[in-house]
Amino acid sequence: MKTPLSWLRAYTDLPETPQEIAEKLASLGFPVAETETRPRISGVLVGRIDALQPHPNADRLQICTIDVGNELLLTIATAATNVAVGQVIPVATIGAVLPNLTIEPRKMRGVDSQGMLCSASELGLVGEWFEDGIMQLDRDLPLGTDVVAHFGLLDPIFDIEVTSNRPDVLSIVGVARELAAAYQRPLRLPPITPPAPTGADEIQIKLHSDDVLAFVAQRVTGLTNGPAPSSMRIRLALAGQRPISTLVDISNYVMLEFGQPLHFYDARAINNATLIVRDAQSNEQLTTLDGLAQTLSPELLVVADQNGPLALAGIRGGATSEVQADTTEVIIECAAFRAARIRRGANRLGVRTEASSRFEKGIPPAMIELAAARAAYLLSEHGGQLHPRAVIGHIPKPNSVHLPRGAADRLLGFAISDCALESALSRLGFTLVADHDGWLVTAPDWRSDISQPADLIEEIARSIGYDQIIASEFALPPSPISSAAYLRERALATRSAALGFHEVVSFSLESGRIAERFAAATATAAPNTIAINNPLSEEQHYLRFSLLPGLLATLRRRQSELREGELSLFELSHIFPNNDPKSEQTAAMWISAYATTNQPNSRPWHDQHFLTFKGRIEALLRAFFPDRLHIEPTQVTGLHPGKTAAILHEGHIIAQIGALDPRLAAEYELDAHCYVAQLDLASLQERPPQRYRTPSRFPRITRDLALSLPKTVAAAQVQYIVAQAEPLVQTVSVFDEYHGNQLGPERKSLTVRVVLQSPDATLTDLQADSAIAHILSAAQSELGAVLRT
Amino acid sequence: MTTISASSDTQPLSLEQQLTQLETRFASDLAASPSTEALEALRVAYLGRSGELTLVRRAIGSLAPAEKPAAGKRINDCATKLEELLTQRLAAFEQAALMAELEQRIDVTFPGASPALGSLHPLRRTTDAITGYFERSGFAVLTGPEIETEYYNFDALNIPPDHPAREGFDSFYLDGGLVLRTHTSPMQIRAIEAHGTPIALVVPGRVYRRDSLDARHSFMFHQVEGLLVAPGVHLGHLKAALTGMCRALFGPEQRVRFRPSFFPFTEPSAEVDTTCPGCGGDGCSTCSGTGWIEIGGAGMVHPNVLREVGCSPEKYSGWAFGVGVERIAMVRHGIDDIRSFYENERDFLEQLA
Repeated sequence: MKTPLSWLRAYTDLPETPQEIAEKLASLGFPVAETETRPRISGVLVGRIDALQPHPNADRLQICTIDVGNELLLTIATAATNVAVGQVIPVATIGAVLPNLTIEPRKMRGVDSQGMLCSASELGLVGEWFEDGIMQLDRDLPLGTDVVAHFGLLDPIFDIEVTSNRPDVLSIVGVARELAAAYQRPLRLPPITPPAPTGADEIQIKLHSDDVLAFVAQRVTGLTNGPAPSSMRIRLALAGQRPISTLVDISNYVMLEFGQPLHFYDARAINNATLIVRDAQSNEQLTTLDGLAQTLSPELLVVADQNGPLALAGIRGGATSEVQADTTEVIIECAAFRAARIRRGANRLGVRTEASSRFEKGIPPAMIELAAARAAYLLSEHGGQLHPRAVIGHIPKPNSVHLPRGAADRLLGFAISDCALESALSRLGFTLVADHDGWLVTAPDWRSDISQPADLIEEIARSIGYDQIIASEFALPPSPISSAAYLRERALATRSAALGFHEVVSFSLESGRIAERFAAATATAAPNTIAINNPLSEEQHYLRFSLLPGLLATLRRRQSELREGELSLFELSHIFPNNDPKSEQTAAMWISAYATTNQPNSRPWHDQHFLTFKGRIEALLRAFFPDRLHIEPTQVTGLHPGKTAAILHEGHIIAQIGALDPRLAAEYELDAHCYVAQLDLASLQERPPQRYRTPSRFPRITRDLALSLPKTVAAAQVQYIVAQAEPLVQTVSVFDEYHGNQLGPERKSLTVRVVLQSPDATLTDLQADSAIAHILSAAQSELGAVLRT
Repeated sequence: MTTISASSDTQPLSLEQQLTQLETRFASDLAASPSTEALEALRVAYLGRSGELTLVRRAIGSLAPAEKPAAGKRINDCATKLEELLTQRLAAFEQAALMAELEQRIDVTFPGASPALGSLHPLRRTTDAITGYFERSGFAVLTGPEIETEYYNFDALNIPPDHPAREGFDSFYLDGGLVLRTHTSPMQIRAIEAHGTPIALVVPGRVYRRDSLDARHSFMFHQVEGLLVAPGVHLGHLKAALTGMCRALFGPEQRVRFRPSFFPFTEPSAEVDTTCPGCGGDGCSTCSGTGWIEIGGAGMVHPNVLREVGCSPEKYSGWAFGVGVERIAMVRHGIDDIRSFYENERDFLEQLA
């Protein structure tokens, strides 16, 4: 909220330096987001034009004789066209400093000019918000008054952040009240009328909705509209509110002062002096003050007369009852609406006005009489005649809350004496009545946010100062809740980094085109993804179904780095694999890209990169699955149909690993051999400690067997059959795959290295030969293997 | 004198003469041997199975029995002598080789050949620094879903449907009353529901706000939530916990200050500032001259939230906080654009690894 410091100073005594006040506001919970400093202006006095003469040498200039309150009259030449004798205007005298200008004596076309008449923009105000030409001041200002000091033009403007629980501080009086309490200085409230004249209500008010709590209406007659007094116009302008006319400005001024929006109707436009608050009817029409023709619906609340809606209650007035230049009679409306109703209405229309943004935070109903009285006062100052004020509805008493003695100490962690507590709360306007175990505390009229002891304790802490809170350790026992799942995730990431993978973080929202591209490239149906109903842009419309697109996009962006051979990335995060929100899961994906200059192998049955990548992934998984993992060929969308394996643990697929589908690589314009592995993190479970097997201390015998096998036999099958065939087998490894003409088109050759070892004796050659014979026999019968010689 | 027959036409040499000559030849051969390999060849030539000394020894058989012991001893002495000379020479070679190795000089400043190491993302490392501190202090680390119900994200946290704060969160909505969580706070409710009280935990995770991406804002970012609910917990405990966290993150001199604020799910509520690590509190451009930087929001768990999970505010109290991981990482590492975290450029990932 834009808050001119000069306006605040009108209501309480404040320190000189803005920085000190800003720090105090921050310590009260109302930080100053920005301090707008004002241009340095000096030497501008209130002057009156006593005479005007045409310039002897220039048609466009006039010579003014100006009285600035001392003996000597000033002669000033001006080109302004809105000057007239009797006007009171700001005069920059010799030596005055204006933005980008210092006033010096000079001759204008042969006539000595002793200063300059100022426009609003020359005083650092928004020029378009004031009259063209010379700014007009109130005629009752004493001549010679220092304009800068009088209007507080040098004091900076604070932009104060006000939390949504404190609509009362969305006002100059509200901020001043907080500061007055903090500095323990008196608050000088602006004057309001004595009680309004009594008599029969001149306005009929009918409340036909529970969402209007109370309503004040008052007729004021005998008004003349026109520009508001200069002090009001300048204050509004400094607060960022454009001055319009006296009647409009008074309602805005009171809203800024007290935070309570109000509305003035031109009384001529109101049928039968009756105001009705009701739900709008479907398809009712109302043209609002901003000129928009709105089609209403029943969720909106309107103020109407018998002819139809006059205003959108709490949001915006209507054009037909708007005050005009010739308005002489207004009806003040000041009402308390239920916050939620105003908020729903404003959301339905997609607008947020100064009024609605205040109402929707819940202004206490008690504020309406005060604001109405203040508006009446200002209107009567302006010549208005006040008529009896109609008040209808129920204005609830402020909340009283019982605060047990000691409750504040317990929550804040330091001791507060009864006296300090009472003083802290009463400074903020609370009233306390002590009882046997604490206090009955009543919130002031302007507070709507106090409903339980914790609310009061926060006020006590704010009043005493949050800097009084003393850090103190809370001794916790070891956590009974296991963090194992998170720790496994962390261990997986750490091990991935140790194995050469770089962790990336990609957005989990993506364009719908990504799923379509995947589907098109891989000739599959597009994955069902979860859509955001209110996306910011098409680029962030869907939740990602896989980590792969993000990794491929990063690879594509960084593929120039592949000149150095290889790029390995991983991501560990949530994915949303299908349109069931419950499918959300934590997944990990690794990808390695190798430059195409680095050919994996020309033999079509062999891919060295795949084996290197698979070896890294196996090394990664070994920490989490110490027992042997089963691997079998599989097919996965996005991966190469002949170069993809499923990794199984206890019969469940835990991971998939394979070469990237070359069609996807082409789609992403990746000039690289890419390999991908994906793991479902839910498969990483807590496991019992492993058992240690004492190794045999007897020598090992290693035999290599070159076997001819049908091409369809997988290496893993060979390893499995050989290991099962003979108890002396310690390890089996397979290498040296070969396909060739001498084997025939249906067969291949594999070399199997078998390590034999007995747990309790040194093996003899005879025993080893016998074991190999068992192995060969099993391999022959199970796999069709023949020993090559 | 005992003789051993050798050639027929020359005067046969005595055993002593033969051995003396052999020793002389050996000495010159030894001196001429340039390497350990040559010494091994010399050993074979003299002491091997068909070496010269072995041949002399074989001739003992032809001597009179009375002469045999003396001759045998003489030959053995010779063999021992040759062995000793060989060993000495070998040792000298080994010594020389060691000395030669010690003379080697390389350019130790030549670049090392590094193994291909990977890296952890700066967001993970900052998250781990935060969760690590709380793990050491006895807190559990839990994670939760990013798709939340409006109940957990708002209602249970004392943000009813028409609460003005609800809109302040600028949420992304999904079908079926679901929302992308706007904060990690829903896990306060889920964790108490699952584990009861007392409870102490931190929750790292991704959150979403409907904010356009620019240098300071992102529609997706990371938070760490903290929660401690137990009898007797007060605001001073929160201050100690956050001070400890800031010291773990930024250094042992960090201080923490609270400023009053408003969150629907805490009361009292506070904004949390810590000493600006850029200037140590003197004021610099990082902290806009204030000496403090804001790291998150915190407060005492609102009584309505405790009641919502069936926990009596009369018996229990608790604190909660939420800090932005990107924000902290930006301050820790001097990163000025939040988008850097999601662009995954090599310089960014590997420089901070």
